Amino acid sequence: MPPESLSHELQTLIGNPWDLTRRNLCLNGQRLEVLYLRGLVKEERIDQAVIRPLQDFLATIEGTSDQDLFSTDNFPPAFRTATETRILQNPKQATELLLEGWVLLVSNKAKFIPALYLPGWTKRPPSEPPGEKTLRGPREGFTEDLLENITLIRRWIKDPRLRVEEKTVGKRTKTKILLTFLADLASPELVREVHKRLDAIEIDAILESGYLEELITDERLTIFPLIQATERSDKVTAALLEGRVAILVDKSPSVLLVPVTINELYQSPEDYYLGYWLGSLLRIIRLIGNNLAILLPGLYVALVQVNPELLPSHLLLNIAGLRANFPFPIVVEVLFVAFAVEIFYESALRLPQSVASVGGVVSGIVLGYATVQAGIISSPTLVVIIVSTISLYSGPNYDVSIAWRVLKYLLILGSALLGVFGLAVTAALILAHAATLQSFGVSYLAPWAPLQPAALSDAPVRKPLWLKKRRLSTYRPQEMSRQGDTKQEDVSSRKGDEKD
Amino acid sequence: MDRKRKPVHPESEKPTSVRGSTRLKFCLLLACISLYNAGCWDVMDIEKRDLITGLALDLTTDGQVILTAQIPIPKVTLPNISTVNPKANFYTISALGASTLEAFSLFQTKTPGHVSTLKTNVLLFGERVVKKGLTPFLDTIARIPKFPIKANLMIVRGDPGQLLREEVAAAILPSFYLKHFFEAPQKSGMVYPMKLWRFYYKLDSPAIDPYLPVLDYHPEEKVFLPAGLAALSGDTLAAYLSPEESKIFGSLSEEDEEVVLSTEWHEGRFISIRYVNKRVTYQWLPPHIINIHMKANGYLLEETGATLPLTPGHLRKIEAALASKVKSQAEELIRRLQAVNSDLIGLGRIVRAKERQKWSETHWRKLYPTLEIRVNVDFTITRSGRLN
Amino acid sequence: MKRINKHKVLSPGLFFFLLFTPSLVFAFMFFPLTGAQLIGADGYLAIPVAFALTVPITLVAQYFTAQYPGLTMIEYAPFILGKTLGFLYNLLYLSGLLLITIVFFREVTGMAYGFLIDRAPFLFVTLLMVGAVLYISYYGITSVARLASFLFPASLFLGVTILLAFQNWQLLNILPIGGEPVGTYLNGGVQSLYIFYPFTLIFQATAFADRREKVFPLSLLAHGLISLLYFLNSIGITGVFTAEGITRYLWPNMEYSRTIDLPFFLFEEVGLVFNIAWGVLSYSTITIFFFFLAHGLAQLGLKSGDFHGPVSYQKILIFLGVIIFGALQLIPDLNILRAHFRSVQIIGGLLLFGLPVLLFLCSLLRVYFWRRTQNG
Repeated sequence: MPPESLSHELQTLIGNPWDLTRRNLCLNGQRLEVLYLRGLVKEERIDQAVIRPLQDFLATIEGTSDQDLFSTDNFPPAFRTATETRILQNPKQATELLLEGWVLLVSNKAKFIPALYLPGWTKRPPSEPPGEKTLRGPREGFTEDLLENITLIRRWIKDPRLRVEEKTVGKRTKTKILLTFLADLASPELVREVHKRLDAIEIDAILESGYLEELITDERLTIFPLIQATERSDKVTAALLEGRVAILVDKSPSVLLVPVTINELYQSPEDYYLGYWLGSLLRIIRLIGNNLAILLPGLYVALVQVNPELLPSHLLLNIAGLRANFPFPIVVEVLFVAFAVEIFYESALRLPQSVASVGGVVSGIVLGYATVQAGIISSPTLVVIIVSTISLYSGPNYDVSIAWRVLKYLLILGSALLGVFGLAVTAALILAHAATLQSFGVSYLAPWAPLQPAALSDAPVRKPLWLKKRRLSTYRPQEMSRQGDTKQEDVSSRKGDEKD
Repeated sequence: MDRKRKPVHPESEKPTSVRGSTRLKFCLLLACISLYNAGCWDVMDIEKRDLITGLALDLTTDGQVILTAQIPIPKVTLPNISTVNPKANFYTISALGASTLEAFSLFQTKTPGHVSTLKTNVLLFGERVVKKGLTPFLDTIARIPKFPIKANLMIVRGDPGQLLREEVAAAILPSFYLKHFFEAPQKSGMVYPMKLWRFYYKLDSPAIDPYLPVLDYHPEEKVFLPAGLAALSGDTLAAYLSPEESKIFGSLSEEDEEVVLSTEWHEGRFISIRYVNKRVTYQWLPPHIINIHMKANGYLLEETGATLPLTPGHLRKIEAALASKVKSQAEELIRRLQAVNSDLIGLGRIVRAKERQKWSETHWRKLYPTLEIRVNVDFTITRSGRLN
Repeated sequence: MKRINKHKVLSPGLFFFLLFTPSLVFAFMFFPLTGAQLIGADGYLAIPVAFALTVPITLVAQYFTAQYPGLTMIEYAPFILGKTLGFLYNLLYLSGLLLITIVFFREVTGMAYGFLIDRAPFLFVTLLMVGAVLYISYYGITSVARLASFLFPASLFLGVTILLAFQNWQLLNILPIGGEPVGTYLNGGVQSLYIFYPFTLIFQATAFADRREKVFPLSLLAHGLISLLYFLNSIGITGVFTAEGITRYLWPNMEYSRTIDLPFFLFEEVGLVFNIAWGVLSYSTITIFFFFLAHGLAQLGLKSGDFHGPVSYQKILIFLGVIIFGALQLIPDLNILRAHFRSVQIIGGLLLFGLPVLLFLCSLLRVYFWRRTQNG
């Protein structure tokens, strides 16, 4: 390819966008063009990091043919020390790098294009993720920047066996995806499977890790999250140390963790920071909270409408007294209030901070009081739904709380239909559905089903750290021991209960 | 065979055909079925149920059944309702019918809501019913679905319906009053509750006869007071036991843990003893002797007219006097029960345990009145409170 | 070998629950009736006798597992009996399984009607239940076993309730111990065998087990635990209700749990929670029955060498659902079922326990003759 056309070729590929900057230079008789996209590059460093070394370089070289100007043997050494550089010949490749924030040097004669990496787009500093707050523990979460995210992980794990494998997905967005795992822990089958699924993706754009989640999940028609998403770096680190695989997606602060079990979804990193007594207690509280959130409205409908014999007599009479002369049947009331709460919740997310507190007062206190006074909704129903809504957010995982939110309605309908019996049948059906699920080959209900006695030490009561000598068998890590180097093979021949 | 780990994502576990569309079809099918059949058959809002909390059963002189039911008014029973305008917190309805169920179905015509017995705490029987035999009435009740098996049964001398109509001083329903009354641990040894399930098995088992607590109406005070027990032979009333006799029965049987006994042991000096650790052993000496040995530890609660400090010798005297008193009362009680052929203690079980082949219900009914039943009582006062 | 390996999907834990749950809940609600009716006050002695009688069944299963590793009984019966006889044998065996599935299913719906619902149409309730059962048995043995394993806390709850109900227990009610002729106890034991009918699943389940060497100890453990629990329960219920009192109830254990007084319990009755725990476990049990029935039927017309039959078990499952749904409609009343329970006991016993023992004897004979021809 004649070198003159390189610049031209680039022009046809990328067009002439507004943010493309071309700086024409004429140095020591060489006509050069520096190309970059303005927002992506640290512009203030171009003079110092590109142009000055280039000047020095061109002054020193003599007798090189123009064509081989930037060939590998003969590349400005000053660039090498400055930043990451590449030498390209293919204009298509050059465009791709340009779009990622590289600076290209195009000369009218040379057939090589040197590229220098000088990223400089605006970044958000790592801050505590709003959805996963803890009182104890690091206040840092992932940002939208891939490099920063991987750095956060690296700062935790200083182990050469931490593998970071790159992949590009999305025909147009060319989103970078990093697969992170510990080479001597994560089971090779798992890594292979993740690779396989990522490779199979055919899509033009990946805007968030949520896209990937939907594309690589085991079962598409389920409400349960089969992949865990988190913004906390300590959570990801802990997962890597259990032998799981983390998938980082560029421009997405949510990191995906696979595989996941339902046991994982009510745990918070705090459980490990606060000592084992409190940690276990908090977990149990969260478990109870989650169960209340799902079961309470259904149970209320079932007990009050169909099977009142279960309620203590005085409670029963009190509820009956409070409900006297209210117009709607309980199930309608419950559905109405629950739905109203969903709407309040959704609006509260969007309300500006300053208005939010007013909204809370209006919807919570004024409206609640008024509906009871107006004889529209009876107060026990309000109590039940509010308790259920509040306990829903006791769990640290947003994805699973959405699942519970939806399942709550199923249970209400089941209860309205057949009372406690309907509630039990619906709950059993939900469990049955969960029993058919698996996440990357791991049973979703592990370690309870299949029962893994060793792994039960982390569900929901956790063992003290000084007793936790072995990793959870749930994720089939290659190395079971946390300190020593017992291999999985030796362990599995002794303890068979840990296999699915 | 190689024993390698299973592949992480085995194809074999899940048949490929199940994924995707089949699952969707399944869900849709289920949803359609539910929608097609939808209907909340069992739904009955709680305020639309008329919960019977107490039920009284009596017979008229011409053999008709009178049922009285007590139904609370929930709106008035609320805890924080203002008591400025005190209204009755319940109402009662009565119905007369040739049979229990006929009277019961008449209830439906007298209330606005759905009459249900899900929360019936007390079941009161008139004297006539018990004299006639309880089995037919209890059978009807056993057939009512979900009837509380823990309901308290009792006999009311006088009109049992009256008891349900009577307003009690405390602002709770009469039926709850009775329920709490029979469950209060302080009253153990004075009242002997009889739960429905317990009554059923005592009725069914040939080796034991049931008893029922008795309430008496006092018109001047307008209250019902516990008045001992009714001993049944089979399902019919055999004899009434006075409160004093009931206490003796409580000490002889396994029914009661704590009994408070007051007695005159020396001229004009009364003592009260509470037994705490009571052990009764029964011994069958064929062909017709049963030994009942009761060993009890007790606390001396009160002694009227005692001036001297208690000495161990003094205590032994009290113990001996008490033992002989209880012994004579117990033997008297058992003779009475034998005379009416009512085996309240369940001595039949002791004889059956030893002579299984010979034992039969008819045999036992014949044998029981002729038995010689000896009672031995052994008292130890472990805490007198005044010993120097 | 690869073929077998592919289907070894049950870890020892899952295998245990696959056996434990059905046997625990199958006769749980009404089993004290048999002992109380046949023996009397010491009717609980029937349980150890029945336990002793069923241990040989486990041994037979162990023998077959060693002899035909990785095969279900449906597969190896034709090897032993020949093609036609084997087919007939399997058909009879599976009809026994079908019988107890229907009977159990009817008991579950009866229980629901007795204590939880009144007016809901039977058609709808059974349709819902059959649908719910089909949903999960469709996904195969792992899902079914996982569900059983996950529901283990419910069985713990049953156990705890039974222990709690001892609060009203009286020693005099369970006396005398012994005193009847041995024949009475043997008779009681034999007639109580139905409690353990679901253990017959072991003949099919071992083919799915991951570690064959653990099959025998695990099934014995499950068997022992259940027998212990039943024994305790039987003693408890006799001590509370007396033998004569038990016979009054259709589901003695349900009433037994209703007698519990827990002053600080949130609900007024433990009984209904107990009922629900049992109900959820029985849902899991029915799914297990359904799976093995369908899988067995799918293997009926099997050519040797295939694990799955010519028809996939999932298609059979739907067909089976229709049959059972129909059969349930034909049993209008639970009392009628109980009146004919004796024949269920006899037929079930002969088909589910008698046939495998017969097969075992045939197998022994075959080996014996084979040796003789080898030697002579």
